[in-house]
Amino acid sequence: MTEFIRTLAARFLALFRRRDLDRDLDAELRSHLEMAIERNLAQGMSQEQARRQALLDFGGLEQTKESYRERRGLAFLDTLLQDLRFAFRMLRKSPGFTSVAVLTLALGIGANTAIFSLTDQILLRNLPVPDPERLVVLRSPGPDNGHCWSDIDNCAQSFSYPIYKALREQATVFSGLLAYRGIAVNVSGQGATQSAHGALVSGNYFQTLEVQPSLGRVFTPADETAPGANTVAVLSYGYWSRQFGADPSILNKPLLVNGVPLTVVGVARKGFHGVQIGEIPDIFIPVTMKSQMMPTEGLPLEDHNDFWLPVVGRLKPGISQAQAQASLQAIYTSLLKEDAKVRGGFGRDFLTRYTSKPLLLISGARGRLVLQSDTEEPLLVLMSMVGLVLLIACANLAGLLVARGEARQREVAVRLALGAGRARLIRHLLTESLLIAIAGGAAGIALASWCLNAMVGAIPPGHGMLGLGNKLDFRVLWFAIALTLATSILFGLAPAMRATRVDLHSTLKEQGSSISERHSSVGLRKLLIIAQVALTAVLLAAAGLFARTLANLEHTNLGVNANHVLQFSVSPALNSDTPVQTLQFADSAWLEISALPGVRSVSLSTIPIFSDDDMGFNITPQGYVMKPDEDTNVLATYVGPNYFSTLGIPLIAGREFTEEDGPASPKVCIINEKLAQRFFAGHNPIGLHIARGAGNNVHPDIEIVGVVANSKWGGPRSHIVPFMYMPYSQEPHLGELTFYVRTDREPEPMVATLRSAISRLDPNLPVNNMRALTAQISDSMFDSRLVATLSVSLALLAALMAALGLYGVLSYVVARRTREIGIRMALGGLRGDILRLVIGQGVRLTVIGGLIGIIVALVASQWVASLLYGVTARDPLTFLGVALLLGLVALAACYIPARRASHVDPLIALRYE
Amino acid sequence: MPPKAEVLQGTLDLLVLKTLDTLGPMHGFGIAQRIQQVSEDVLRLNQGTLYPALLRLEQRGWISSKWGVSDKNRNAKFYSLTRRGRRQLQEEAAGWNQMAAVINRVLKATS
Repeated sequence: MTEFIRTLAARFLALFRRRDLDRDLDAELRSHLEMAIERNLAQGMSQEQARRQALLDFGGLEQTKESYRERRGLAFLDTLLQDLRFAFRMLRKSPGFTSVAVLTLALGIGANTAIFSLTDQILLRNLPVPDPERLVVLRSPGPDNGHCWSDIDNCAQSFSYPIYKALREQATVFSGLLAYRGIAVNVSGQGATQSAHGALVSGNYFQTLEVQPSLGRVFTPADETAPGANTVAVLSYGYWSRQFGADPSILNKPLLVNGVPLTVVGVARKGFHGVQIGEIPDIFIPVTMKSQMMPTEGLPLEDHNDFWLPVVGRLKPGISQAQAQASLQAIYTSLLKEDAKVRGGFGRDFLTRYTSKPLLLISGARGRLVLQSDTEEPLLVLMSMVGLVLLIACANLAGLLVARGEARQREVAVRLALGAGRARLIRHLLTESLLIAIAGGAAGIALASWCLNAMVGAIPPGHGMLGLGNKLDFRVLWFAIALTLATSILFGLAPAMRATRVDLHSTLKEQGSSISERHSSVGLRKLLIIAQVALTAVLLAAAGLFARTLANLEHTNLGVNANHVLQFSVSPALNSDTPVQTLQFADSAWLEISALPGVRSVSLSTIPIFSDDDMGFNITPQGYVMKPDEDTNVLATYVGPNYFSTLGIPLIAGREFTEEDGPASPKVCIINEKLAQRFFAGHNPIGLHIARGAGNNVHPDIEIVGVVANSKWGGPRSHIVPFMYMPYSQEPHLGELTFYVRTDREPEPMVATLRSAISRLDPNLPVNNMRALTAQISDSMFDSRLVATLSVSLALLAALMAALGLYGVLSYVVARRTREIGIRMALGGLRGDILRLVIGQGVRLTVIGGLIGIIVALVASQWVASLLYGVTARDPLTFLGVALLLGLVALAACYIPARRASHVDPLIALRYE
Repeated sequence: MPPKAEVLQGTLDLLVLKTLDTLGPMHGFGIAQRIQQVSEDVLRLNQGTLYPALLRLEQRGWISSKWGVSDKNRNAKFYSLTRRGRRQLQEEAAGWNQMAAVINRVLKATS
């Protein structure tokens, strides 16, 4: 055994001293031969004879050295090192080939890894809690009235607290049933007041999710007793480290959350981010603190009319989703009947529909899929596109390898003739392919992490995409590298096998010209080119559609002049200001900011424009005859004086709100043209009245004092809807305020001035989302922009690769046919004919590939129709553009080889062969 | 003249070890010559195969090598038996004698 180890060690060490040891061996053998010759001379041979005999006695000198070397090192490693060194040298000798191949792979691997890493985090990953597959989300679609909050699924995932509590008590299929709601809070008490993400949670929230504390304790059902009674808080690990430097002394200290002192009882386990991806709660608060934490919502915790809580359950082991759903339905129906009784006033018809609502369970393994519903499609589209790019990269690499294999047939033949082993030769060629794949993979990793950083960095705040990491997903990285390895082995091996099987005699004798007769590899390359062009056409079509979408979005008329407007939001109500105090604050802030130098005008709205928020209700317009069951829903917001002039929305008739429109003055509103057209067609609406809500005993009491032009609310993609504006002074629950400041200069330098103006009024008021309105608009198009930017870059990349591939194959054909071209020219062929011949070949490949690609794209584009804006999925202009661009790329790629062919000098061409 | 016999794989090690035991430190050429002389030229040693064998023995720690000067004033690499090599030689020689005796007996029994 020790001998074995000793030998292995000696051999391993020898790997690193090859040159010394080689010299040593040479010297030893030389000395041996010299002694032998000397002896032979002594025996009376001639000098020549003595030398010959010595060599004869010795046997093959080179064989001895070879077997000595094999004996000396670790044969496998040794030859591998040799192969690597050789491959490296060969690759360095053709830097063009090498860099194109490596770059191609790097782009393919990098783009895939980056996009997949993002997709995985958003779409695929389960919640980081034990047994996530036993979690279910509750939903109950169907008719409803009362007040409902919803982030997805049209209120179907929002439950009232009484219903949630009754379900929790009566259901037997859950080991836990939790409720939670993400809210914005102001936190002070340990430093300056700051905004934070809060989560109102049921007492069993952590137990149900099986989340442990990393400090102190988490909530228990004992933390959910009565409204306003549970003044405790649990911090998330991230918030604790970020905000309090992971200081354990925070335990049992009070934090002022929305002005209410809460005792910090613990910190949740590291890596726990709640049950909704893209939303990271900083601070968990018992759900019983609702009225204190959501001061502007108005309705108390136990109110049966308030649907505001998402509910997630954990199934008991052994109970299937279907079993649970069946068992829950009876409980739920009887709950709804009781609920309807408590609430009262339901019509008979509505009552039947309300109490027959189903209670459905959907998988909660990935949490509540809010972010996912918005991003799923763009991400899948991007995944498909980068997948195509990887395919193109592989096709390109394959083409390059096949070409290289062909070009080296002669070299291989020579080496075979000199006695190189076939296996060793194949290994050589393979080593080269592998080296390329590895280099491409390494460059791909670098590129991927750069790409992912850029993408995650580009996600705007407030987009519901918090907490996305920039860690690469190594599964897909390995997949991409494995794919390229397979490609390089397959397409590196095929030519290598063929090259080593050639008939040495004919290859060496007949030289290059004969090879053009063997069509197989040229055919393979042409197929690869066609595939590449087809895939490129698909990508170009997608890029065209998405780029036009983005352009349309950017040039869409919003009905708002956003230039030189700065926005920011404050929530005085979260500092426990009463609505009256908030109103006073709003009034004085309006005055204070109006007086600042550089400010043209200022106004505010209770709901920020171009965000995801909106508020809507049914209205009863004066004199309008409603059809039965007509939906008279309009969107609305409360705004300040000068709102329309500040945002550049033209006033069509009547007046804007003024300071005269106070809380006690007559109720007034301003409507947009769309509302006027729909409900007051043919009449002058000024002076008429509107009521909020619908029903028989509602009397229109809000006077219309103005009509303004239509403008978009949510963003460029949103439709023009009937809209109603009211003065903020007449909002009874005044809470969040978003200010709009029109400046007479670039708005950004005003940021500090505005901040200090606000802190003069209330030093404890956090100012959020201070930015140019143009930036806010631009962010609302974030996903469209991401898709457009990435798809255009990917498509251009693909076009470049296709061009390189085409160029490669044509150059190769021209080089092979130099003699034929020479003969043609010698026989009087015209330069133009030759040019046409070569370009014709390239164009043929492009046309075939392009047609296939365009047909595929025409079919596939339906799939992305919902992501488009202002262009149809089969937009003729886009597809024409794709065809033209492909044609141009093909011509450019063909031109150089064609020119080279047409400049062949017949004399040189014939002599050269 | 009888046909020359090839050196059997494995026996070369024994021959080299024994030669070094007898002659003391010796270079490759000397070892080859000695083996041929002693075998009275019956064994045909391909001298080249000696070197991988020497390397193998050295890797196993049975012999060691050092550059030195030959009696004819020539630079050469001298091999000498290590203590482990001497023990190995005894074992192999014993093994060989035993085997030879067995084979002899078998041959006698059948004839």
